Amino acid sequence: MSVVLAFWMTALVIGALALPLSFRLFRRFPDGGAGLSFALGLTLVGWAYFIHRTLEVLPVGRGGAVLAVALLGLLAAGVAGYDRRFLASLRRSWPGAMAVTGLFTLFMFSYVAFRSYTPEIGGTEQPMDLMYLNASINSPGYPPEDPWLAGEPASYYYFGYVQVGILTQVSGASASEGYNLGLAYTFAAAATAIASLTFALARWVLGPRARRWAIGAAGTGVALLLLVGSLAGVLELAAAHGWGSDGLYETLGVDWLRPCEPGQAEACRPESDKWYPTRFFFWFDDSRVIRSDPGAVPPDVDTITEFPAFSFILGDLHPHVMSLPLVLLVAAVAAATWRGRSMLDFAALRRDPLVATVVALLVGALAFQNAWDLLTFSALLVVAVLARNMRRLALWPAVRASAGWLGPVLAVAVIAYLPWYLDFSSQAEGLYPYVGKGTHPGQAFLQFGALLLAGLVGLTWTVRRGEAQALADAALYTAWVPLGPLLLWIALAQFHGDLGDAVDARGAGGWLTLAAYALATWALTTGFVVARVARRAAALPLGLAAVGTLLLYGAELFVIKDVFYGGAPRLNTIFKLSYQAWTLLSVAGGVMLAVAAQRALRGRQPAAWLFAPVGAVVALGLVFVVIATPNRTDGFSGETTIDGLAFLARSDAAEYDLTQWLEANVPRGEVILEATGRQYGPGEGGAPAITDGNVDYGDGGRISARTGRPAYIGWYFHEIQWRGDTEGNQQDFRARQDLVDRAYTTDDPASVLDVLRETGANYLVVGSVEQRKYGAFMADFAEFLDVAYATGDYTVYRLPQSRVVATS
Amino acid sequence: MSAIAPEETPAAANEGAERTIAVSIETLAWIAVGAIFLGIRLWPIWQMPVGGAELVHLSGAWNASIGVEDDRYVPTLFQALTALSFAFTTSEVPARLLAFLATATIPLALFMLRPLLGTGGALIALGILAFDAVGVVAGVGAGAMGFDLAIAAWLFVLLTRADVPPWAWAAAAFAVTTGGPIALPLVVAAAATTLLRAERPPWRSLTWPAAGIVAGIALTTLRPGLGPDGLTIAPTALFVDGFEQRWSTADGLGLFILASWPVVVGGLLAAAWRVYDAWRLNELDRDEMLLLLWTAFALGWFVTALPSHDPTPLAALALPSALLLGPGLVRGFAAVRDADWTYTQYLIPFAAIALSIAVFYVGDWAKLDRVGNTSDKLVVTGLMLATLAALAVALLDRWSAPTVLTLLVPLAAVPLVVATATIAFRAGDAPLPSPLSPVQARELRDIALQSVGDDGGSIVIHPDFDDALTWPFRDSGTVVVASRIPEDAGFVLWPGEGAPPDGFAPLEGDWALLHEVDSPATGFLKFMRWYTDRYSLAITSEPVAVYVRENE
Repeated sequence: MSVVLAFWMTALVIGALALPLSFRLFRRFPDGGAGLSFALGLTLVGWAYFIHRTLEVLPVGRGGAVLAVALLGLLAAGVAGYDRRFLASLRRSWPGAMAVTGLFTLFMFSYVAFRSYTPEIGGTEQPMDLMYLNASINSPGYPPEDPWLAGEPASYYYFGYVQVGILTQVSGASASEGYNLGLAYTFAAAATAIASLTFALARWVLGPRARRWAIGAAGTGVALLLLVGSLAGVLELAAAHGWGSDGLYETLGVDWLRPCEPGQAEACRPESDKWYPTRFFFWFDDSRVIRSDPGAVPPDVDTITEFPAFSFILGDLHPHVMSLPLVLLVAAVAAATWRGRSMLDFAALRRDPLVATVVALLVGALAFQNAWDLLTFSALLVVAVLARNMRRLALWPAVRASAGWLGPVLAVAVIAYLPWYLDFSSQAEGLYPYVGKGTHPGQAFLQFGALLLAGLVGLTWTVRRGEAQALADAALYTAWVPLGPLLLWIALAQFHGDLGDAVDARGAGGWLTLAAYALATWALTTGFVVARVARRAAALPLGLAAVGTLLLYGAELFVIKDVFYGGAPRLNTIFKLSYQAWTLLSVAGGVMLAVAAQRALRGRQPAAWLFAPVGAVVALGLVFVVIATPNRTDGFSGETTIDGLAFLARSDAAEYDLTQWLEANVPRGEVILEATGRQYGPGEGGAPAITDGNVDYGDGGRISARTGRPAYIGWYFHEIQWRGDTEGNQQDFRARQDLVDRAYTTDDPASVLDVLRETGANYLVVGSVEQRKYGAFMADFAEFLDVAYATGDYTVYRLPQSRVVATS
Repeated sequence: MSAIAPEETPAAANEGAERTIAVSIETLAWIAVGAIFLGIRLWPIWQMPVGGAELVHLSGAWNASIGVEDDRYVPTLFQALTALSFAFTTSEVPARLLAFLATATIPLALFMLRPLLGTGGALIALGILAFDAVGVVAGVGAGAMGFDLAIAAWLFVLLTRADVPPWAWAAAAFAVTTGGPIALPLVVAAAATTLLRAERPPWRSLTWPAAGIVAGIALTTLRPGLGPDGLTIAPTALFVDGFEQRWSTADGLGLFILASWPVVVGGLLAAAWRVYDAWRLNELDRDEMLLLLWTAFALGWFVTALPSHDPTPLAALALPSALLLGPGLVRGFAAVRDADWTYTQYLIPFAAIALSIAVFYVGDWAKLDRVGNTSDKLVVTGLMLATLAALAVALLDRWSAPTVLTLLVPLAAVPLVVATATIAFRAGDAPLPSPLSPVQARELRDIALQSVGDDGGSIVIHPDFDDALTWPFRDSGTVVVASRIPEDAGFVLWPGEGAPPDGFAPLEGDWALLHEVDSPATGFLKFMRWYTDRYSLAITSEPVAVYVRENE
């Protein structure tokens, strides 16, 4: 418990230190941006740590992280000292800051309580996440080394791990504790961020006297983002109790969710003996709702439709999850920029370089934290700056003025993270038209229905009587918003020679879904333009909702070509863009629903009563969390701990002890040899032969993931994903696997020593995985290597040492 | 006149007839407290075993002096001078004398802080620092931070004076950047104070400290004796090292309980009192803000480093705490003088007697290492409750509340004096400094040299002992560090107590290269027992097998 308190306290301190800067950035927010200060503070500390480690000003170790926090303290002192309105802001915002602290505490400890029932870092890509977290903490040099490819710098967007690593180090937690606490922090920081943003947007729309409704908007926004899930959860619950007809499931395009017939075991849901579905990991399928072939056995999953509630139940510490507070922060910066009055041009930048620099660091962090977010959220900022300047200037002068402010900001955003860019190898190979089967409308509704309806309900109160002409005028222009991408898609498909097939392949359902997205985008964009022209605060949530639907629409038309293009072309595009859409629609939906409820209940706009059915649909979206949580925690049974490796201590204490010894005794940066993950068995003539070459999602590289000590090679295909599916990479990584495997499958001591020298490794691990993967093929290492550590049947060997040392 | 020193008024300072006597008493007091401060630190120069951070940094300095690359050589200016001293001697004493000389200037620094702290406050602060056990080790030990306490004290003097010549800032910046981390909280506090007060020092005035910083970083980066190996900023490097390394057997919390809690708790109470006054009166001058921020940053470091085995954060916190506590106690004593003693003249002695009897019982339990029987427990509980009730009654009335100081201050002084006396005069058995290099380790070196001198062969040391042996085996020619015993080995130091290798005979005895003195702060009875029995602490050491080549 003490480590949880230390982590929580560290997050609070960082948030508190960022308050003076939050007040500067979010002066017009009712809480002074207090809810965003966690993300703001941690991003700045993370950047300071990253850049000072890279410049070798800060050494590796916990103290470096503490010093980075101290730097934020100095920045806070400077901002507070020079900001004449700081004390006034503090007096005005302290109730909001207190409320935000309470919300942060509630969400953090609630998530810790949940996660403590299921803290294992073991399945899915969690070992990879732990590996990057350990890399950010333990790498002797910066940018950090890739622990699964000794000698090479990490080539991934790992800024989130740097930030969680800082919280972990400062609080004195171990990496396996910090992993879970990092998730809890992200959950809580995302909650406060969206609460702050939606509260501000609602207050701007409703005015200062409707505080309770604004609080309702904040609560709804938090719920939409973090608690609402796919509506497939409702069907899961129904199927678990044998409810619903086959027709319903087929109509919605989720055949696999139907209740099992007697004797049926596949592509159906078994009945549950508890009130919630008990099928193992049932909720995982609800992040794969959009499928081209709903009846395929075994399931043919070609997209990922993850949403935040799922992410937190699963517990993968992925970049797109850790970036939630940051993207909300940047969206809030865009909102604050939009709301501001003065011109933003080069002169403004010279007058207030601090704010511009901080904005640059935040925009730059988008790419470093989750590269997919860069375009969407920096575009929000660009539009906000342009719109603000257009209040005083015509279009082209406004563009020029905006460029004067945005140009340097974007330049600094790149320069500030240059060390990362130099090592990062993007695997995006360009924009391609999606020419496969379109999304079934039922699946689209189950996945995004609650969010889309929540966003669209705003149209019931933002459009006023007597604006028909204005709407019609605007609609003529805004039609290009959905038409433009469609025309581009046609052109690209024609260019690639796929147009005819693409039109057919999409299918009637796919075209219907596309049309629904297009209409939603068109309607929201039109509402946005009308509200913008009328200078109404409602323009902001409408604009965010429009961007959200545009992302869903765009993901139906295009794909970003990456390593999955051959097998599942839109896997990542739908995944990453719909996650952004979920975030934006949550912000907009929180405001739209709360304001609609206020307008309806006050009897001002009858159409706003649509909030009631939409609210009901949103409430159905909560079913997912309600039933998935007890399933994930096995009914909240079992021991509780926050240490993600406690399961290992229970299941294989010797392996756990070996890992702990390695972490405590092997210097950071020392290369170790451990199992690649490939399974060996007797081949021709009894010689060792590979019987299973798959290593990803398995035990390969588990020691380096748990300790940060670099292995010569870890998960093969993930390295391919990060560095490119080139022949050179394939050969290099295979050669690394072969070399390591040779050390474990030869009985020739000289060969083992050669491998150790060639790989630069001083240590060779023989734990449970090595015994399982290589078995009897292993040489008697003790004959020619030193036993550095032995526990039970497991041993860490070390190259023999001998050197003459002068003492005088 | 500072709000911290309310007991001094211009009128009092100008009282003609009594002035001679007052000055004379003041001078005598300064001499007496200064002598205590210095006297306590004299004995350890020769008698304190090499241990903790001192052992690590002396090892690094030694290797640097002979040109052997070593991560333990940071270096600070002090460590560089220590390395230089090894050109003339193999002893740690000259380096300790150097540290002592620097630390010996602290009374003068406190004397110069009278305008801020008041004469009484400065004197009491010096008295408190005299009995700061962690400060004794840090101020006399030849670790890389040997100059640190003096640097921090003098930097505070500079920062609170208006008549500082510009070049002094260059010297101060040089001292800070070539020193250890103890002054870092003050540096950060100074920067924070400047920023919070929106002060805009002219750019030209920054050239002096900038020059000092550049010169300091240049020196540490050049690493005298070894040559550059990347950018080296000594204070931050040592700050980070403190979290990573084992510079004391007890962790931060253990050291706090063991040695410095009265200073720190008292200092923080005084700080809270001062902050409350500042909030109530809506005034806080620059120097007070600096002192409070210094304490706050040092406290942040200390709290963060609680699990670490490093006494440095505690030393860094004790210094500003003492500076706050000194004037705070002066205010407290003044309040005691004016307090209402109507009831407390009975309550305080009653509480003292009840507490003494309870302590007597607990002391008895501590000797037996078990809690007494039920009736004893009832007696102790009753006495403690009676003590607390008496104090609570005294505290309930704001006019009588100050009188509790007459009980609390002597009570808090006991652990300070005990811990300091133990560390200053019996450091070999004290929990600080530990882990330490025992005399036995140097004896092993003499035996090894004699053995290979008589019978030939080389001295072979297992890699596990590589670091621990640098200091005791200094000036021993060449040794072989090997994980397998080479054929020409004549004298071998090996882990464990297994059978000797072929051709070697074990050297009888319980050999050890490092001693760890157990911390008494791991249990209440153990802690109390330490007060009654100075030899009650277990000394543990990893056994070392010593083999010598058998004569054919």
